Amino acid sequence: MPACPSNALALEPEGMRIDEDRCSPCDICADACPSGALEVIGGRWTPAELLEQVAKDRAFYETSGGGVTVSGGEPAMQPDFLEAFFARCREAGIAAALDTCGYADWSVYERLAPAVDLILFDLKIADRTDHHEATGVYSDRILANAAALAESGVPIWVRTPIVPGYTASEENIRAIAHFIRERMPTVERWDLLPYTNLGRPKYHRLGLAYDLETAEPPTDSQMARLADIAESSGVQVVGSGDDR
Amino acid sequence: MSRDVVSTQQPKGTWSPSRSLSERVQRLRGEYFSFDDRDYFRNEVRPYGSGTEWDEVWSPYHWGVVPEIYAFFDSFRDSLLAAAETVALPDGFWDEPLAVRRALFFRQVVRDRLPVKILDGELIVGSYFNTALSKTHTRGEAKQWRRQVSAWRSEAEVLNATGIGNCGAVPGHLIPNYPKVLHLGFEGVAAELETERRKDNDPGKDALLRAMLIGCEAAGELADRYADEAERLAEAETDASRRAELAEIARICRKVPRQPAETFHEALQSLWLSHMLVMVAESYPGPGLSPGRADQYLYPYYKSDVAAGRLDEDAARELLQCYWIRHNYAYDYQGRVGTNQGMSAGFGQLITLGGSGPDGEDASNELTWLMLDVIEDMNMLEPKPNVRLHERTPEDLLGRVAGLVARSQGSPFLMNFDESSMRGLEWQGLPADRVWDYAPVGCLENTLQGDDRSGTVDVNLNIAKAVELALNDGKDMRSGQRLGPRTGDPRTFADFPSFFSAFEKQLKALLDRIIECSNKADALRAGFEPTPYLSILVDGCAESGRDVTAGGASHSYITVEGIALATAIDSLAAVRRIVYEDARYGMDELVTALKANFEGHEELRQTLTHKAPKFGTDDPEVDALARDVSTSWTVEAFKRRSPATGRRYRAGYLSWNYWIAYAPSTAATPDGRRRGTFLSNGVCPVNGSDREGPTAVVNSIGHLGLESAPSGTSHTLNLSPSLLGDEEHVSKLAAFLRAYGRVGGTALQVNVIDAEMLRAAQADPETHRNLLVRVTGYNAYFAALGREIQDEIIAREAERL
Repeated sequence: MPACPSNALALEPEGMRIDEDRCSPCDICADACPSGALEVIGGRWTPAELLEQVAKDRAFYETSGGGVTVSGGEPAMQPDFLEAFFARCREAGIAAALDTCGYADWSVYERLAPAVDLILFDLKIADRTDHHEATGVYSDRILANAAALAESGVPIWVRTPIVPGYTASEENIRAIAHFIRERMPTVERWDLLPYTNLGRPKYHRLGLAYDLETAEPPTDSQMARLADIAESSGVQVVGSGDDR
Repeated sequence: MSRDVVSTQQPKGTWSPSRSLSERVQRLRGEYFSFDDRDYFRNEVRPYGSGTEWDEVWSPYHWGVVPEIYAFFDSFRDSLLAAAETVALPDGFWDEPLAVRRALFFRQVVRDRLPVKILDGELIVGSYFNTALSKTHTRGEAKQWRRQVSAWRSEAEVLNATGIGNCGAVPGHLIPNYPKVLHLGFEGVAAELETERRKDNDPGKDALLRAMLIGCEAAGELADRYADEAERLAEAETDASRRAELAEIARICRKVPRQPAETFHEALQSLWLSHMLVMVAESYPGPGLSPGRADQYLYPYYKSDVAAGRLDEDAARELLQCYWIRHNYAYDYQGRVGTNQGMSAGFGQLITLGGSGPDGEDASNELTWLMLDVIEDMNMLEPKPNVRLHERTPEDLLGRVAGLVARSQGSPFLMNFDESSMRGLEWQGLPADRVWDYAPVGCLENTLQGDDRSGTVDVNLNIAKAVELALNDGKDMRSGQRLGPRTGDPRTFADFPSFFSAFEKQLKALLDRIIECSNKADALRAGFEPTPYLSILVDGCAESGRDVTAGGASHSYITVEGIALATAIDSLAAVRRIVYEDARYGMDELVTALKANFEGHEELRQTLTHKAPKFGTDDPEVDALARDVSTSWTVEAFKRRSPATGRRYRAGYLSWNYWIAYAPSTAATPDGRRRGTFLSNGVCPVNGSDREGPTAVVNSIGHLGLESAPSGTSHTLNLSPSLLGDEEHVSKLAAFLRAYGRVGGTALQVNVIDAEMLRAAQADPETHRNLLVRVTGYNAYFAALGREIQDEIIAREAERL
């Protein structure tokens, strides 16, 4: 605690409390803490440094047909970095994928699509009002981006988190299937990802409210039923509930 | 032939015997496991003595690397002697040289002492093979032997008690030239020996060749006794089909292993009897005695039988299953010890499948696939399966192996990687045009087949002990006893290179000391314990006129296995970072804390644990240090030879259970480990320190420069069943294995852990930091997850079982 130059640390009965208004974060406390109990998550990287780190596992990418996936948060918030990083990946012969919620400005995807080998694209809720209710934004821009990306020819895997009470309805899956069939015929694969409540304790630890407090994971039979519907999209559907 | 690349079975249950096993095989398998009820046949040790008052039937140095039984050495010796049946010896016995006496004694036991038993329904016969044979020493030899044994023993006890390590002259741990017996039969082999006898007039060589000829006869005589027994049973048999089987067994045993095998059944019978007799001759029940590449040398028999319409796949499978069961009886004597101590994977009659041919092509065949089925269906420990993987292993075979690992909890299965293994064997100087045909023995120790005795577990050296000595001027930290040279007070070392140099000197001194003790064991066995029967099966012995125990094999080595490599690396890395680079603590405080086992120095201990770099994280600086640590002693070891036999020392990393055994006798170490906490295992990172994921561990191991440890490297990876829960992930394991062959060590075993282990991890996160689990579409370190998530994952794993 004395190590902190901003006096942001206080030891309380429940554990160390970090005053987030004061914390810079500068890493001095984490360096001073002998047990490694304090840790600054995240770091600053240049595209070259990140590539060096990623390239260490080259042999594993080669044998698995895999590569590096840039995920989030929302990576499309940092297009300049991504463009530079993806260019280096391509130069190094390492396949790169972008995992995105689809809500960035089209100009971002227009720049990034030619630089990546695969886009993992979230389609959560097709209906614009329902989407707004669940996420705070309308789905229009996401759907437009999805269709435009499909047209650009970049390989796409669609991903839909199955959250009971939000995305897990049959109408929603039917609507997304319809959208994929009509507007994204080149999609290679559609993953239905059963929601888990494993994020709940993380929110609590950060002192944040967890919006899905009462949501429960879907059952296997629910997943299987939704997967059946999803098959009507005509693309390969993965995730019937076995994939936990 | 069905080649299901990815099976439809999911790893929901514990690996179990297949329900498709034939009634016969189910019964034979069940009979093996009925340790408590099976009173009509037990393969317990049977001692046979010469009747002299100075007789000995048990060699402590055979068990020199099993220190937990040092305390029982005298009682084993005395009770076996007391129980020994006296064997009538032929006239003139005591006038013969030792090698001939040993052979005559062996033949006498095999001819009329060793019981013969054919279990109901068996197709491959040969039951009793656990012996303690007389050393057949004269009074003078016995006196000398006893004196030398006690000299070896007193030094071995010191080495063990101080945590330096252990050594012995361990039988088994090689691959005899069984294919030669299959091709020529013992009669054909004997003809070659007769030719060799006519070549020169060396009396020592002639004695050995005569002894080997006696061994060849003994094999035929035992087979005859099985033929007699089969005929006797056939006469009394009322079931016509069993009667026919017994008649066929009798026919086969009249033929092999005397004559060349011609059918698959004959080949398996010849193989088993030849193998079993090595255990009789060495008085050593199984450990490390390995069949090698059986899918290669049995294949011609399988192929010609199938082509001639004599054999179909089902019949071949059942024969193999009967053969498989036989190997398990090597450990029958442990069966009633108890469920926790009885059955152990610490043995290993290692059978090798797949791998490359002479030109790098893949050598797998239909028999490889059939044997994989047998392994999966039988769910038995032995013969311990190993698959050789290489750049050109076909995708479908790799998928089959990955699927099997996923479904069998991974536990019994070893994967050996050809490219890195062969690099080491070439470094060692084995012929470049032969190394493609290598196979591992015992746990994972690489050797050639049929002409190589590399003493693969004979010496085990605790590398971390050298760290303790470098920090205390060569003295044991607890007792103050001097164990190594005076390298100076570490508080006076100006920089890290000075410290490293003290460590190297200590390690070299320990290596010299343990090798000196090993030389004693090697000389004992070479001088007093020839095994002519085994010499028949090891090329080089007949030509050189030297028994296999005397270094007669074409390739003869003694392997020093390094223990606690990563503990030593992390300790040195911590000294470099915390004391010299960052100067967070002085050497004085470090030494004081280590001597106090960190009592009152918790902050320092936490700093060492969390603020120093670790091996297994793909950190270039640590990996360079690791390479220095490894090559510093492995290259030294290779410069040394055992004077009695000329066998050269070579290195490897297999630490069996010593990483646990030497934990209390190794002081606290600068990586933050307290005395008593386990040392690191094989080439694995220290438990809990590999926080950058399995690919980083594999890369770090690959950076070690392992050629100079040609015996091979033990690496165990723990995975959660959830990581292998579906076909997509099993195929990712297959890709991981392929990449391992490019960048990793020589051998890998995968543990697929269950809820029980997860609970242990939850209770003790510090030592389980490396445990990976699949959370949802991604992998996470179990220990780093919140309690709530942990409970959820435990619940979901528990539900799978």
